[in-house]
This record gives sequence, structure tokens and C-alpha cells, in this order.
Amino acid sequence: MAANATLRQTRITAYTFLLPNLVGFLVFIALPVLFSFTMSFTNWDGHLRRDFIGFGNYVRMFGNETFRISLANTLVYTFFSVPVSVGIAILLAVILNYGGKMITAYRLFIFLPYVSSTIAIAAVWNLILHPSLGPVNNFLFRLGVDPLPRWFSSSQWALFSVIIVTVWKNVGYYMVIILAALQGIPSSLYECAEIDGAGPLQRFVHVTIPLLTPAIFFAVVIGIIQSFKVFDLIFALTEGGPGRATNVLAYTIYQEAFMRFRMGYASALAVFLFVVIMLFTFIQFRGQKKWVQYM
Amino acid sequence: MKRMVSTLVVALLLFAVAMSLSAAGGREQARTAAAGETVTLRVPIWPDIEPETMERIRAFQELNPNVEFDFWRTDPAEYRQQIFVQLAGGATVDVLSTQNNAVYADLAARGLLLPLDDLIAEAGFDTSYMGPFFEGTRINGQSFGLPFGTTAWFMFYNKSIFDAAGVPYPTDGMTWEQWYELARRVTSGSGQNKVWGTFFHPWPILWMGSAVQQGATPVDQDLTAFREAMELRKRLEDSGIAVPYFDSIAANTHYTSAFFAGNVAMVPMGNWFIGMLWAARAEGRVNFDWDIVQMPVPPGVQPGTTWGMAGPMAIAANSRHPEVAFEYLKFVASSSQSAEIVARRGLLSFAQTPRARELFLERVAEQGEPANASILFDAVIYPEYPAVEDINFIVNTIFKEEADLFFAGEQSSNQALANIRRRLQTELD
Repeated sequence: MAANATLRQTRITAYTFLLPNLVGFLVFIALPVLFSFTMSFTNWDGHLRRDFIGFGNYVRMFGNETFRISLANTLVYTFFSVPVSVGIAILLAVILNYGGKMITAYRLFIFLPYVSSTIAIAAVWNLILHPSLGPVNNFLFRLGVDPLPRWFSSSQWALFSVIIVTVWKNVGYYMVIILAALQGIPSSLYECAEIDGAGPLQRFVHVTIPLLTPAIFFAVVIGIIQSFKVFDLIFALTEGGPGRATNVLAYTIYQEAFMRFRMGYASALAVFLFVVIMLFTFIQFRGQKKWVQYM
Repeated sequence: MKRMVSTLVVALLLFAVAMSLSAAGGREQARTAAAGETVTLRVPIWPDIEPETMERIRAFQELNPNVEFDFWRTDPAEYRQQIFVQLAGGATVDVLSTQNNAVYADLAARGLLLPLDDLIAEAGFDTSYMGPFFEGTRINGQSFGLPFGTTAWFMFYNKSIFDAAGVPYPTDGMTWEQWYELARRVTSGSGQNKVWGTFFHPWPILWMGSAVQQGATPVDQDLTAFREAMELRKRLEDSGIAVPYFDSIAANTHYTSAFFAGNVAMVPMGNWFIGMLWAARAEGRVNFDWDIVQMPVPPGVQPGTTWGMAGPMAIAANSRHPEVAFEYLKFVASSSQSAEIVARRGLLSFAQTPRARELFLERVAEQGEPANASILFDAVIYPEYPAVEDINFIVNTIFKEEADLFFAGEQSSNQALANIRRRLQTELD
């Protein structure tokens, strides 16, 4: 009885402390998500028209060409940009982990793009990859490359160009995560391995990599979620063009919701994106048992 | 725990419902401004239009001392999204500019604008001075706005480049073919010394213009005129006359910097560019003589035909003082005072009076340029695009994306047109 009362008292205190956060979460996240989910079954035009149309939006979505193109682009974008970013980040982290005087400076420079303004990045990259005046194409021209890649100005190159910029921008973030994990590996493990006769490569493959897997797993999960949601970089670099070559799901959602005000349909797209992200995250958590090693 | 959470959810839902009910209640009251009482109209405003709006309001208040104004300060670049959210959210704005036919049609189609036909009939207001532009505001037979100012497009040219090249200036009434030949002759050099014949800002209207001059619209059955327009644009680029489309996008080149730099002979642009050139000349950013001529036309089209945009001025559906708002709307759209205020700033409006014309030309004479300013009054203006719901998507997404692929050399003009047709059928509903 007394124990029960104490327990209740403790619970009340706990929930009271949680309340501000809980209310904020409900008002700013849970309710809007719930609202959006409900709206995805209507033809809401942002104002008065709001008829229930069942799965109408979802049926239309799968029949829509722009949706299919943007879904394919999103998948290509994600499955190229994430592994490449994480791969380069591991390399950089290992190199930086060897130390040296300039390590802090290098780490800062590599991290800088991640915290720079997307708009500024886009303007600079558009000039670097300018089809006729850009330094990259001038260099390639001197090397005798013909025809020169048209970068953001051609359907063949545009998505690839966006991936290059994404990798450049995000690599610093993943590097910091992996570097932290690297520094957390106890040196005693390396000493043991050395005594057992493991060379540098063996130590890397059998000690470093396995102990990095939790950090890599985290980086990949976060990376995939971020890539599925990519919007700002696309908006600033190409606006989905040329044609629909770099149109991604989040950009289509923006167009439908805020250019056309078809809130019902845009909500359905958002729900679909949510489900896809959930699915990929779930698969990764199921799959981690096979390769992630926790100390 | 579960119960607590569910209680909280229910409480929040009730709160949300209560909020929406009270907003609706706010909309229900109102429309009860008795005569003689002071009435406040709320209008959106942004820096570009602030001086003329203030001047107009002062003139209006002299005639209507019991009308006060309250301002909603906004950003023109975000206006489309902001005005929509404001109006749909039930915020009170009484009289608003819609900026263009796209915003106008999308707002009207959602019931956010007040139908004007009854008010116009009651007031016996004569709309004929607006010509076909008033008919263009009808959506399902009903008008929701009055066009007041309009833009009109002309060919701006750099006299100094023509003088240096020994090529005669462009003239009024040229055809696009004649103009193309002239642009080719004035193009010269390469690399740093390149002088371009022309620069087309990468807005869709710039390649669509020659189709619009023939009265074509993006929602027509026959879109052939747009294919020809697209081809003209590409031909200018392929022959090195025009700055390549994607180069200007990648470099984010603005028409002002392109023309002010002094190495582009001709730039087709709207009449507001005149005021920008005056300012740039005063600041020493423009160091050459310039003038305007009529926009070149396709064969068989009346010389002086061009395109422009008249964003209708409208009253919000939930305005609390629709009658007073309509008085103000009429004043803005049709009064001689309003026309003269606009003219003194070097801009165009439908309500032309001889005095407005004089004021405009006086303003031009003060600045010394453009010598050919009187063509502004003789322009035959087609709307850039009609007031149809979703026209923004049609022009700036479907037409733009398919034309982009043609300009990038990735599809033929016939394919572009076929894709536009197909997408117009599959993506609109």
C-alpha cells in the first residue's frame, strides 16, 4: 500500500517533468503528423474543399509519372551518396587518427561544408561546374576530354553532380562520428593484436573495422534518412531540373503542397515517404545483428 | 500512464477543435459597418510598392476621411505562399494585389476571393476601359478582381554597341526574323571580348513570348506556336547570338547584370526595366546610351503587339467591409488620381488619362531616356498566361521542364510538344 503510494508519487513527479516536452511533441509533431495522415485520404485544397476520397491520392500517386521519376531519383541518390560519403569518411578518419600537428585544422576544414549555408554552397558549385566557364571543365578541356560533361545542365550528369556535392558536404559529419569511435578503441586491443603477430593491415581489418561497425551503422541509418528527405540542396542547385532529372520525393511534395496547394495529395506523398524511410530503417535494424559488433 | 496520455490527446484535440470553431465564429460576425463609422481596411504591402500605395491611400482618404488603413507587411518573393496561408487561415486582409493571373486564379478557385459581379452591377461600374483584360479575369463566368496596373514588354537595346559595330538600330515593327538577322550582325568576338546579340532571362515567358503574341495560350488545343517559339530561342543560342540558356542558369545571371555589363546588344524585358535603368544610370552602373523599340512580332501579327501581366486587384472573401473595400478597389483601378500616381513613377495602368500620359512623358524627359517612350501607350498587350487554375504549374513546371530538355539538346521540339500535351492530360487532375 505504502509502496504503491510512493510509486504513484514518483510517477507523478516523473510525468510532471516530462510534461513540457510531451506537450511540445504532441502539439508540434504528433498532431500535425496525425493531421497530415488524415488529410492524405482527402482532396484538401488548403482551404474549404476537403472531401474524403479513400485511397484516391495513393492510387493517383502510383499512376503518376513525376512520382515514379522522383522515387527512382531518390533511390539512386540515396544508394550512391550514402555509401560513398561513409566510405570516404572512414578513410579520412583513419588518416586523421594518425595525428599530426594539423589534425584539428584538417578536421575543421573537412567539417566546414557540413555547417555552411546550402544556398552559398549551391552558388559556388554551380560556378565550379559551370558548363563553359567553370574551372573543372576548363581543366578537362585542357586534358582533351571531349565532349565535356555538362554537369547540372544535362539529364545524364545532373543527378551525379548533385551526388558529388552531397558527398562533399556530408563527409565531414560522418568523419567526426567515425573519428570519435576510432579514438574510443582501447590501445590495449592493438597491443594484443601486435603481440599475436598481426600486421598493420590485419589490425585494421580485424580490430579497427569491427569496432567501428556501431558508428558506421549509426552513420548509415542517419545518412539514409537524410538522403530520403533531401530537399534544400536540390532546390538550390537544380530545382529538380533539367526536366525532371533531379526531382526527388521531397521536392515533389514541396511542389504539390506549396506551388499547387494540393495538400491532400502532398500529404499522401509525405506519408509514403515516411513509410519508405521507416521500412529502410527497420530493415537496417534487423540486419545489424549480422554485421554490427558491440564491445 | 496510458490513461494520462489519452486524456492529454483528447484535451488537445478538443482545444484544436475549439480553436477552429472560434476562428470560424470570427468570420461569421462582421460585414456590419454602418455609414459614418470609421472603417479600417487591411492591405498587404511590400517595399517596392510602398511609396505608390501610400500616395494612393492618402488620395483616397481625402475623398473618404472615415477610412483607415492597416498594413500587413510581406515579402514579394514569398507572396504566393504567404497570401494563400493568410487567407486560408482566416486572417483578415481586405484588398489585395494578386501579383499575377496564377495567384489570382488559384485564390479565386478556392473561394478565397469575393465575387465582384454584383458589386460592379450595383455600382454601375463601367469596366470597358480595361479592354479584354477584364474579360480575362472571369473564372467560371464570374469576376473576382479588377486589373489596374499592367506590365508590357519591349526590346531594350544598347545604342553604343550598335554604333561601334556600324549596324543600324533596331526599329519598331520588325519581325522576329528581321530582328534575328540584326542580332546576328551585332554579335562579335569571343571569350572575354564576346559581344552577345541578345540575352533571354531564363523565365519561360521569354521563349513563349512569340507564341503569346499570336494570341496562343498554354491551355489551347493547338500548341504549334509554342514549338516555333521554342525553336527560335534554340536557334539564337546555337548560332552564338544569345547567351546559352544553361550558362545563364548556372551563373545565376540576372537580366540587369547582363544588360548593365555593356556586352549584350538587346534584351527583351518588361517596362519596369526602364525605372531600373534610370536608377542604374544615376548610380553610374550603366555607361552607355540605350533606347527601346517595339517587341518584334511573328509574321502577320500587328506591329506593337507584345505581352504583359496585369495582376488583378481583389477583395478577400472574408473581408469585413466589402462595400468600402470595393470603393477603394474602384479608386485604385480606375480613378484618374491613381493613374497619375502610377504614371509619375514611370509605370503603366489601364486607366489612362491625357494627364497621366503627360506625367509619364515628363518623367521620361527628366531622365532623358528612352527616346522612344511613347510606344508604351500604343502597345497591344496579351496576358502572359490566362487566369486558369493551376496555370503556374502548367507554365513553370510542365512547359518549363519539357522546353529545358529541348534546350539541353536532349529531345526534339516535336518530342517536347508531345510530352507537354501528354502531361497536360495526365497531370492536371
